[in-house]
Amino acid sequence: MRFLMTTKGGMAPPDEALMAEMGKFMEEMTKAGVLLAAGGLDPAGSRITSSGGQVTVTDGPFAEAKEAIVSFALIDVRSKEEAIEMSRRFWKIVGDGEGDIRQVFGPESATD
Amino acid sequence: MRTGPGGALIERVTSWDAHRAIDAVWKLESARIIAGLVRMVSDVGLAEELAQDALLAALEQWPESGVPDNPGAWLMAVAKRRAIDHLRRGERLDRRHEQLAHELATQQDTSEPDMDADLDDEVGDDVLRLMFISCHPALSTESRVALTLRLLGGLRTDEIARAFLVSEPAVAQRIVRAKRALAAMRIPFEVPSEPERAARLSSVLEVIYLVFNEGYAATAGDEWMRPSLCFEALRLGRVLAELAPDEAEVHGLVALMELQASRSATRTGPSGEPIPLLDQNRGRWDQLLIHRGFAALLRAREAGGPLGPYVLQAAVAVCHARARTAQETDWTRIAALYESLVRVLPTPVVQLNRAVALAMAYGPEAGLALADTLTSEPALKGYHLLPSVRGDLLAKLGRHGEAQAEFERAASLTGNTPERTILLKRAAACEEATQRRATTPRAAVTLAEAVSAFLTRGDLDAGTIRSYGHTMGRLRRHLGDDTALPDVTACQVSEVFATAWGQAAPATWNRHRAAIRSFVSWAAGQDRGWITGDLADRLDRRPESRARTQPIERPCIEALWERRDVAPRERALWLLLYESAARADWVLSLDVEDLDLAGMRGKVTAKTRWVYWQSGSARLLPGVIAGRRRGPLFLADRRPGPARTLATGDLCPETGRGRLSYERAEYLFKQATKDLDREGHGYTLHQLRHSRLTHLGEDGWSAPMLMNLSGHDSVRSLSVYGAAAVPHSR
Repeated sequence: MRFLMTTKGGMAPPDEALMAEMGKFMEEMTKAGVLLAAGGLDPAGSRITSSGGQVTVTDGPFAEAKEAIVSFALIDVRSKEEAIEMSRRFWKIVGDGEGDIRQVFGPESATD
Repeated sequence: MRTGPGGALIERVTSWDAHRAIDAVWKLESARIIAGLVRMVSDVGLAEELAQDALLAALEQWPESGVPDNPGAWLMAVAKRRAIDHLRRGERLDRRHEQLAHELATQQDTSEPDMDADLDDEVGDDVLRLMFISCHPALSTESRVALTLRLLGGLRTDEIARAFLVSEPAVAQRIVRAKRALAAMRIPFEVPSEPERAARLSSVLEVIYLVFNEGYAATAGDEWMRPSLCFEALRLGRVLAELAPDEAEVHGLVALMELQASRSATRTGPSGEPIPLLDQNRGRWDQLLIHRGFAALLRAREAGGPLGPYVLQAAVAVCHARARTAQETDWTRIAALYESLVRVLPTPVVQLNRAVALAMAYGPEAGLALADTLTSEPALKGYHLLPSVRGDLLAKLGRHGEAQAEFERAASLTGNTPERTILLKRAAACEEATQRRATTPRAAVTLAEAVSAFLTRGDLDAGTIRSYGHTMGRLRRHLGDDTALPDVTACQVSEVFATAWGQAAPATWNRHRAAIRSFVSWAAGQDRGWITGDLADRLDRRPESRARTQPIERPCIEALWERRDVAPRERALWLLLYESAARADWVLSLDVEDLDLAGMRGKVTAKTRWVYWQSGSARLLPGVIAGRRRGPLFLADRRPGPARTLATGDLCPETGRGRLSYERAEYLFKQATKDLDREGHGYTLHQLRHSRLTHLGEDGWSAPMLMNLSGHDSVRSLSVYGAAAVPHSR
């Protein structure tokens, strides 16, 4: 099962020690065959709204920075519990903050 | 979504089933824990028992105390304490263990002993050793599979039983037997070294791929467990690739599994019926997995070594993944890959796959000829895909009666219901076609039938069948197998030719033209009279005479050497070609180790002859060699892509880049000379060589001198280089 783990903005910028620890964690997830893709996101971005056939693009940054997704990791695990366990390890390293775990539907979800 | 700030999240975590959390931690950690314990107690069975004790302790304590911060380390610490107790009882505690016992005792209360942080690499090696031991070839295949899923996947006995549709006691029995056998044989806990390593590694890969296929092929087993088997195999493969990064075959297997898994969403239809690869919706293939597959195959290539079975199979999978539509599939290349695969893995099933590839590349006759040789293979006796493939090829050839029998046989052999339905449907379609033929008197012969009869008429050699098959196959694909032959017009044929070979070299065009002309005269023959008109009527023979090669004029060549914007590699290649007047393919085949720089010559190994150059090239060559000692002299700009398998001789051992191809070199030369050529096409490498010979002829070189320099075998082929080349005509 694939899960998308995301973190929201508003956290203190990471220091060097945290970066190193995160790097190690990512490496471990890769070695364990769990991590498929990961990346950091520009919190500004552009917002696309489609309404009545009219597509509008609004460039950021936006006021509610805390709600913006600033990083993601796509992981491949056996169960939601494993995803939560992975997420727990992640937050143990990062400290305070907020994020989501969402299952990415794939071929196997239909039989679940 | 959330009721209050953060509230919902916390509630979810606390109500979260602790047992399921423990199971998740266990699956993530058990391999490392068990592997570490095997190193301490040297017994797989005992190690697993001790690890299970730790799991029991967690099940008792965690629901009360909560999951510890570092659950893996917690489990490891508990398990190691049990191991120490065990060793102490048996008085087998050595100094190293004493130290460990002391460490564990002093941090009794902490839930986060940091002991495995610095042992990380060692833990990885332990897991690798555990893989080798649980896949030991001395164990039966089913024991290896069960033990590996249990020890390295952390799967429970009931989960393994569900996956393979066997009873739980049966799985337990397999595991117990395997552990006993390992103990009795005293298999050392180590990563085996050569010469044993290769065989042991292939046993590990076999087990992983078997698990993957059990999940993928859906021969039996619980619907729900099957995706988990695929995932488990992929995960084990990915882990193994990190632990043994120098093994090309490991990356090959990972690439193969990633690429196969990328198609899992499109392999079955809404009612579970299998959808063949060529009919799948390629837009739904998982691009992420495809790219992981490509990356894994690149890593395999970087690891080097001869091409093994997994790397070759992955290369085939890459061909499919790269084709945006089924029609774009490079079947010639796939057939060639199977040719190589048959050499390293000469099994009947591989041969059968090769037959399919041959049929796609060169027409159903070529495939059927090979498939027919497999009918006596004992290994394929009960294998439904053999009659299924033969049925398909026979149907394509219009031999519907035989095809029907094959499809019915295939249907009786398969255990998969949706597949049987499809096979019976195809059998019925064949029957219908036979009847239609019987009721319509003197129905016109179809294109497929005519071509098949033409190619199997018995007096053509294999090379001709292959060559004609290529032409006729293209015609059939464009016009349709069931098209009645008399309905085919010369106009249609010329359209097919224009699309397929309009841009090809005259020789290629003429070869295909010869094939169609042979077919026309055969089909119009007295005893057949299937067609009356000349289908090749609109196809003109294209001139391919040597005289067409125009020399490049001297001032143009001079201008070329003057240019500043030419890359050093190109400058050296062109000058070398011109100075040596040697064939471009010979010059491109030169290897660094075959150069005699002082003698200003290089050996063309395939031809056992020399290419001679002059001072201009001699000045430029050291820059091209750039300190390399071996490998191709002229290298491509980039490393080869994943779908290209180059022979090791065509890869630079130092840079990993491939040999510069003729096509690429030709393209670059054409691009660079576009503005010199009055017609604006740019010149060919052949023209460059040709120019040199012409210029030398003008300068008074004799024919034998030119032959010696250029490698032409006869004076006749040289005569085009001007009257000056033949002495007596002067």
